[in-house]
Amino acid sequence: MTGTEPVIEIANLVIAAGRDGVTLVDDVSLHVDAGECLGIVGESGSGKSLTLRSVLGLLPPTLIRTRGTMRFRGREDEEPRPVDPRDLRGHGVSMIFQEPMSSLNPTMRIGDLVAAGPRAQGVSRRAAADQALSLLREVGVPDPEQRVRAWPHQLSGGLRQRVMIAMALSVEPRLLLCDEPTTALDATVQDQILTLVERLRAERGLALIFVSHDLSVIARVAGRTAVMYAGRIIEQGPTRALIENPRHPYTRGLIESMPQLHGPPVRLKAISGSPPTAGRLPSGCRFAPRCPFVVDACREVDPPLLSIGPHRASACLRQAELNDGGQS
Amino acid sequence: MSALIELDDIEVHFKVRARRSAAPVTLRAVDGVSLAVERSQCLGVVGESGCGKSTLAGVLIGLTEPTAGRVRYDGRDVDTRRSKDVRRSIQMVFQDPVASLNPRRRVRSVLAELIDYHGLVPEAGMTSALNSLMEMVNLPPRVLEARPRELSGGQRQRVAIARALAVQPEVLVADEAVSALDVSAQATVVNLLADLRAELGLTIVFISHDLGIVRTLCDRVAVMYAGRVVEEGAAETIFTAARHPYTRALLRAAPDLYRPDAGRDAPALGGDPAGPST
Repeated sequence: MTGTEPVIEIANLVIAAGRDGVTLVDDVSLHVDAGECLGIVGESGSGKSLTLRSVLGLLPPTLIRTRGTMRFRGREDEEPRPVDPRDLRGHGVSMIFQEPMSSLNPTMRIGDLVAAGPRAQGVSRRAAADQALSLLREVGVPDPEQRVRAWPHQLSGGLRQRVMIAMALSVEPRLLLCDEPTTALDATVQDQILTLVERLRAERGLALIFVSHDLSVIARVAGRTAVMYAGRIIEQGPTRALIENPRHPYTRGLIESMPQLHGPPVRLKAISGSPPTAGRLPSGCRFAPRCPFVVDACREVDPPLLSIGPHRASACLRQAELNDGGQS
Repeated sequence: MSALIELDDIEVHFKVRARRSAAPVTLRAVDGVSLAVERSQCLGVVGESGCGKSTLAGVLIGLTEPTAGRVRYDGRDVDTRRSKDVRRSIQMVFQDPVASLNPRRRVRSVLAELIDYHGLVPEAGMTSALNSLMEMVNLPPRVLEARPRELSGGQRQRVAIARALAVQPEVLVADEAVSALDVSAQATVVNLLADLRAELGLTIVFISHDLGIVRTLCDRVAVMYAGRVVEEGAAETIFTAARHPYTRALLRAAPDLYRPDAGRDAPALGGDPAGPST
């Protein structure tokens, strides 16, 4: 899989609470190549899940996409074409969610849940059941021959998440959207699911968008990461480079506030204050009121996300001074 | 010096039925746990869902009656029928402040009632006592007039800590107290707990699934699996030279920001965490 051409491109996405309502996601653009995993990291309310959900048009009824275009490539040899979110459901794009219990229909057996996608596409009952069986095997459900008869409530959280992944794969997607799929799981089970997602990306050449509040989970699965804050992407780049040399004070703050498992134990550095409420954004840069690097200019202009090198972008006026560990 | 809290071979068993008609089976949620916590120490209790760590917290604060074993506090045996003073001395901070704070009451009234009940401060000193509580948890005094829903997650959890501190406890039992918070708010609350321990000499039992936070905060760590403590020791020893395969598997599974591939060559743990044995 070469993965040089994006599977999906989203440009200038704006999500608001109604036509003239509060803006929740502001001018977000992103793309993902085949066989690539893009991580989106941010805290609650940053707009990361809304961005992801808007790809399939799964926004809550009170929210609308007021701006933005989306282009999708259904096949390797196809030109990217503009698409509507509804066209992508079950046709090229699948999604897995945080809560594997509330996302699985409790009145359907596991085998029928996984077979439902192919059935809806006109596959025969027998062939769909065979597909379900082999998908359950592929995602590592033990004893799939027995488990196809089980109900969701009879499975552990980790197995339910595997079933959800099998359902997502059943329609042969090119892009898999992951909305905090391991947040509700125990550490050792999270590890198993992340390994599975990694394997599927590599083996199937899937494009992935993986949303998480946990940068260390993102570091494990995503080659490229976008950091969101108050509805905007504020920094973007290859994950390793972004963690080792963050070029936005918020990214840096996120990293320093995380406890580490190696090196001498150090006191955590908390980011002062809390994120702004949507609709009551500060003037200038959204992070300015909490930023240790703030200067007067930051309160006057809202800095756009600008390219700062190969594959890297930052929305900080002082990003150059942050390069390789500038001090506040 | 003898330990402030001693748990001696604690067992908590529950009778459960799979169906209403089925014969009850015994679920061993906690199955023979002995632990000691010194005064001003911070003990981390780590483990996955169903390992019995929250049941153990219930035993510590006297909410859950152990089936067998003894709990000693400050040299005396205590059970679920505790004196007002012992109840005051061991306080709990829960995971979800939305569920543990009364949504209809302002912070001031919640805190004042507790202080009043335990007769800790004379009427005239109440305002200054409440203000100094707010200062202790780094919240502005105006938070006293707020109801829980008007506060952010991090602020609410600091109010929950203020609620526990209001009665001047010796021991704080924190059960996943920062798990529901965003990282930046989490760091604030973790630092607050570290400061309170240093300033007030608080003894803390910190129950968590997050190894990084336990490492930052605790000086001793107990690792639980299926109702038992499988390894216990000084925090640095646990994190650098774990002896039990389960501890090693937990450390291996924890995602690490700077070493995303660390331990990837070591075998991963298959299957699901064992629940309590029956």
